[in-house]
Amino acid sequence: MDRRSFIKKSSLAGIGLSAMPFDMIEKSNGSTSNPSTKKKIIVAGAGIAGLCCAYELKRMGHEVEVLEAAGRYGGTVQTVHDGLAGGLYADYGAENITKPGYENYWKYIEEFDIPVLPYLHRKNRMTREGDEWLTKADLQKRRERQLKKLGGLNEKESHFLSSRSFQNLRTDLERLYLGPYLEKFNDEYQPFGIGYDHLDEVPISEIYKKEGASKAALQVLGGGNTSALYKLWQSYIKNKRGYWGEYDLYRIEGGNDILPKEFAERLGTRVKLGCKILGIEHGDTGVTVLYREFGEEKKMSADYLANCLPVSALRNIAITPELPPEKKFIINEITYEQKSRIVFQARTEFWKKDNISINLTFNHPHLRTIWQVAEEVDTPRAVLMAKASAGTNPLRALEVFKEHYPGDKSNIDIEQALVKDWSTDQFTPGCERGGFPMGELSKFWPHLIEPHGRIYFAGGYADNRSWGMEAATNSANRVAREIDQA
Amino acid sequence: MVISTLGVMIFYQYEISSGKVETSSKVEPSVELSLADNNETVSWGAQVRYGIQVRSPVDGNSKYGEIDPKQVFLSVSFFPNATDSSDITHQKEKTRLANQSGLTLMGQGSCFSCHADENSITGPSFTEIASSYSNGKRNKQDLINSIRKGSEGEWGSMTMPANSEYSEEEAAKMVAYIISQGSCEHCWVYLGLEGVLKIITAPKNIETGLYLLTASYTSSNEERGKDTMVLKVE
Repeated sequence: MDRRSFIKKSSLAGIGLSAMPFDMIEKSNGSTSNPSTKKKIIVAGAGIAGLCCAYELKRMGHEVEVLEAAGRYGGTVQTVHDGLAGGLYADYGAENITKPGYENYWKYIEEFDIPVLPYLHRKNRMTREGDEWLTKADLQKRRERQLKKLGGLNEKESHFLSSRSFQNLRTDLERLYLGPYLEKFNDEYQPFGIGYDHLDEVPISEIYKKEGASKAALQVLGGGNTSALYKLWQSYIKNKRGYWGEYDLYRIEGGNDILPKEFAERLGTRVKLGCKILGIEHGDTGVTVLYREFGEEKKMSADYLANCLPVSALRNIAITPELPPEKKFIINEITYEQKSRIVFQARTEFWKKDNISINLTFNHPHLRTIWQVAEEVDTPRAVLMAKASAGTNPLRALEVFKEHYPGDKSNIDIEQALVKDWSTDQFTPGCERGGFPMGELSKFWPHLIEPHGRIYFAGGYADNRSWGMEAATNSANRVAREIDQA
Repeated sequence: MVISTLGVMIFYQYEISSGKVETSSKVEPSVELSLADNNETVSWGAQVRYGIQVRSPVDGNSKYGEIDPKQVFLSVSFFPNATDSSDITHQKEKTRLANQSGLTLMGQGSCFSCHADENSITGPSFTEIASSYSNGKRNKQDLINSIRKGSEGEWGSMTMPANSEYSEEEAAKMVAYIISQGSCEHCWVYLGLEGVLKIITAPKNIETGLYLLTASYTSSNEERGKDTMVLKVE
């Protein structure tokens, strides 16, 4: 890549003043410390978790300072307006919330009176299989035929399913076989010590077999690489939160970055952008953070640190004394999912001429799924959002779209293509936490959420489930509470 | 607003310095490695903050954000019981550091978005890939194919996208680098203009040793600049 193109890329992404390499000569020791009746807390990172945590701590009467390396706040919650016509917008990052679920998130929607809209991107979806476009009903028929070929469901399964809508075969079968196991759980943050510890070494598919699942059901259920303990625990949480199966999706009208903006507005200049954390010193009485601001290295001291940075950022921060081995394991081993978001702007809602839904699953590496967003904006134009693998060129995705579009190709009037490849983002590489390898849950949990001394941990990775904004707001509330009560 | 103002400023920097680009094409970039504590001796288990400044006549200056951090590497080797830096400048190490074309190629693509030397990001680490080679689970061609054609379900549920822009020969260089780096017990590679170097905890029966740090940058016209430093551990 030549200089021009690198700079161009950087400028578009906002390279952030703190990204500039440090000068070892320029150092200062501007230290502030204010241990009084109220606590002083440094919040590391102004993603949705950091902002939410700082907002809660401020509301509890504490003094907060939020240090963010990037020149913008919001982290993986990012809405794009620029480059889109007629007031259209799209969410590059976190895209939806569920109901039921996302309890802490909904709390703020109500408190700040933020308008939300139903998000219907899974409705009337058509899926491409082989060379054919299939409706949900077609897919279901195809699945039923496949099940029959495998010998069909057994009597117990058919009986159980007859009482349900058959909308979500897999979840219904899970419910049949795992439901009875869930009674032993009583704390969604404690999967251990209830008699299932040994099941972390056993794939969940073995449980289905043991419970007498048919060959066809086993095919639907899969799970050969998923720990039974992990699956049972996650099912318990999903059931408790009411989203084990059907749930509704919502998004914020105007873009999901409205919530981080609302937090940030209430925090004012307590949110310090362009401040990259370089080192953390911690002890029995407080923490001192070394950071770079306006090209200079500075120190800030506080009673506590609410660390809301992703682990990938923590890997580049010197923490003294070192964190214990179980915390270092978390920092080294947590993985994040990486995706590209592609946004197309069309001159019209062209698919309507073909009388088809634009909620399309292409199942192509350059274009997995596509759907419409911001449909409430009063303009003849339309914005489509697509999910693709990291590194996908939007023009390749467009080519796939044109080649396989199920309607009349000459109707397609896509006039603009934008892309956000999270895998190349300097500050937030990746969003939702990846799964844990089988047999390793005890290495991750509960260390993932435990504080160490005066350092507390929140963020999209630091909760019992991995849905980004739910985990971020849950863990932010947990950390604020823990620090308040410490 | 801050973002766009900054963007304009930097672009302007490029414009005014572009005259130089034409005249000085085959000059090595200057690479300067510095450590936060400026110490030549470190203790076992220490975390050493480092920074690398790069000035390239072709690409620009890291100070102004003109250097792609994906082309800036810190290669680190540990030599147990070595006490004199002449102990570590032997041929093998020189060859290892010279054979980094695979690393440069990886920096040109999106590899480091998902892979790192020892940590998990999204895909397997170099160490994991190298061990799957050494235990016979995958051969070099399998790994070359994974790079060029992508893979699915090989390492958990993640999909590796196809990188068809790399030739067979280039992919082979990358595989050679990954295997050599991933299987070397006392070698590490760090990416970017700054970071934290982690000194190992004292291995059994070893009281001292030397760390060789080599910061390098390969410019867009494929000129390589480097800076080395030796740290004593005790």
